[in-house]
Amino acid sequence: MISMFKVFVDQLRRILHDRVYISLLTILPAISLLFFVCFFSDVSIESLPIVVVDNDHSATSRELVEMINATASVDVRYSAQSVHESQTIITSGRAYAVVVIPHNFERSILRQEPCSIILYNSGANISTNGFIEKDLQRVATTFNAAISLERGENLAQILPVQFEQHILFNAELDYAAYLAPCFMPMMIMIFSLLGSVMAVTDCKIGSVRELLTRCLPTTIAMILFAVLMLVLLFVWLKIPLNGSVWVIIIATILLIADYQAIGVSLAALTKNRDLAISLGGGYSVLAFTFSGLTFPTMAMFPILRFSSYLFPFTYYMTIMVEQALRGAAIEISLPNIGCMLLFLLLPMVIYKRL
Amino acid sequence: MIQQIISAIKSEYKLIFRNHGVLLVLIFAPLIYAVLYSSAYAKQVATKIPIAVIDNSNSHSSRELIELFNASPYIDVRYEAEDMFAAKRLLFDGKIYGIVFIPHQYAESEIEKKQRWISAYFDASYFLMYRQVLQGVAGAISSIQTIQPGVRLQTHTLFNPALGYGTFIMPAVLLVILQQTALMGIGMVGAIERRLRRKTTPPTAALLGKFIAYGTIYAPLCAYIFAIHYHIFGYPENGTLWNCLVVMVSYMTAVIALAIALSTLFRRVETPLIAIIWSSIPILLLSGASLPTEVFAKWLHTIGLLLPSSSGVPAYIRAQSMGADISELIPELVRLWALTALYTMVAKYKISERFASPGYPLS
Repeated sequence: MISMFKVFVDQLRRILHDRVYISLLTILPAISLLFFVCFFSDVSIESLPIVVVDNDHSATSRELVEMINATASVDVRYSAQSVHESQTIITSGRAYAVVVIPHNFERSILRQEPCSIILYNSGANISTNGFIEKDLQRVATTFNAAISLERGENLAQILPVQFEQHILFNAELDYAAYLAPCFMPMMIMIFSLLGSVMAVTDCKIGSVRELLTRCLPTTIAMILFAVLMLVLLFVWLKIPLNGSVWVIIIATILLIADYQAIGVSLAALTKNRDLAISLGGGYSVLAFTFSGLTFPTMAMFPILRFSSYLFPFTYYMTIMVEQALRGAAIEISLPNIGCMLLFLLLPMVIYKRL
Repeated sequence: MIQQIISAIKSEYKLIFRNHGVLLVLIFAPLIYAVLYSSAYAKQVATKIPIAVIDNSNSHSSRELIELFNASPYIDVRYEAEDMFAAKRLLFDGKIYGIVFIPHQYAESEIEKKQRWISAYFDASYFLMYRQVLQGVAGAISSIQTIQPGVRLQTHTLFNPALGYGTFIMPAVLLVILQQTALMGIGMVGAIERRLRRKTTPPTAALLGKFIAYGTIYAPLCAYIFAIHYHIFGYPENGTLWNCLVVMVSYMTAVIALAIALSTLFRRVETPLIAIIWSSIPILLLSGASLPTEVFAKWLHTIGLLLPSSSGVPAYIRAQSMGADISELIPELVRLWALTALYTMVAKYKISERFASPGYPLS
């Protein structure tokens, strides 16, 4: 025990004498978490600038433009005389969509003839596209309902089937609740891996106990940051926490342990600090894509879908979504906790073979 | 002078090509990441997302509706659940991403010529799934219309008609990968150079030599990624060669300038790796490609403008995905060249400082 204490003190000494090492256990994680807090503190898809080409210039068309402007997502910031003129506003990056009101708009409505409003919606950004489409669609539906009411039409003829929409788990489609629980743990994950690589390279390791002791400062630092992260997520950013915080805490500790295990394994395999850092860093950043949060793994080719299972982060994200957003029962997350535990065996396998 | 520049180029090449770690980060990493990410997003959209239907009507009309759902490319009625309890179980097990509840009076409403109402529950924990399930359900329902509504919204999706995820994010990801690997790789070279304490060439020649050396490496690399790789994965190619080249050259020059400037700060090879690897996602977010710049704090975006990616990414996306003209890219291009000037001055200053300090024998 005493010798392990000596090893621990020696490791602390190594860290304190190394500017880079200290930074990755203190300043860098702090800055990274701070960035995401600042970024997600006030993220809302609102007032996206669009262009309106009103070819009708009637009271009705102006009313429509008013309705469009009143929606949350969209801000009618520009008006143009033609589609051609509006094109440059889009390609200059000043607006995301163009709404064209045809020149016989009011007349068509009065004559009970069908007419179309055209929406040119940029697909370059899927997020803006979705919000603009949703709000414009709602305006069109509301406008139609108002017209039908005035005409005394039977709604059942125009909209035979209607659906009542219930948005589960992230009812406001809050991007902070969607992305922050992913990006912030990723930072803890990266520094856990880097810290463990730094710990076990460039020094002689005699035993497994020594290995664990040298990794301990990284573990402690990362657990402290993890606590900070959880407070920032659920208290400061007010991300929903509908399930078990204990499952999340255990999962986060396992995340730290797993990525340290991976760092230690990489160090053993490469026997080269810089290479281990390169590979480890590269592997960590890939975790986001293969977690399937933004693009589902079910839509990937089989071999890539399979490789998502090789990232502990994939299981972590599933647990996070289940517990934080969905409020699932603890039993549902247990299999993923089990998978995360398996990764701890990795260094043992690697060391056996060496 | 020319001789000095050539010898600077040669020594830079030596530093790069003799060090496997640098080669890995500078050249192989961008290629490997490009292939991995593009392959992951290759299918671009999720199709046939599983949903469950609770059919309490069990009538010809309700079966017709279920058929329509199945006909949609977006969704697949994988389960017909007994009740909400069973459906919710499937949801929490991750087997479905949406639930549609058809009440028992569905068929009667049709007979009575009343509006038929159903309830749809969408899982919004994964936004892409939510959007596509919503599209599937809404699309199926709107196809039941018999009479045209008074005002129809006709949507044309520009630049990315299928709303493919790869098309949306990969241009930005590729550009950010190039910046990050340049910062790390060139940073590593700087650290190695510093460690070697070799005879250096005069600052101007050294700087020019570095620019040319990295220029010759990035020209074919970028040409491959943005012409061939882009084409293989079917990303939009709506810009003219000239416009895209102008943006690319402006961007990479600024990136190389920043990388060289930063590289003068590093003393150890692992420092640039550790300092930069974590910043990739923040930098991608700051570029405004995933969430638009209007949506997050303006001050954060302004600080981010110090990075070439914050200008280069939107400029390239508009040039290549939208077919923007140079005149529409002026602000970004001006910023990129301003950054190039700024970072070149910093690099020149730091290199001169080292050149003039004792311990560096003049050639």
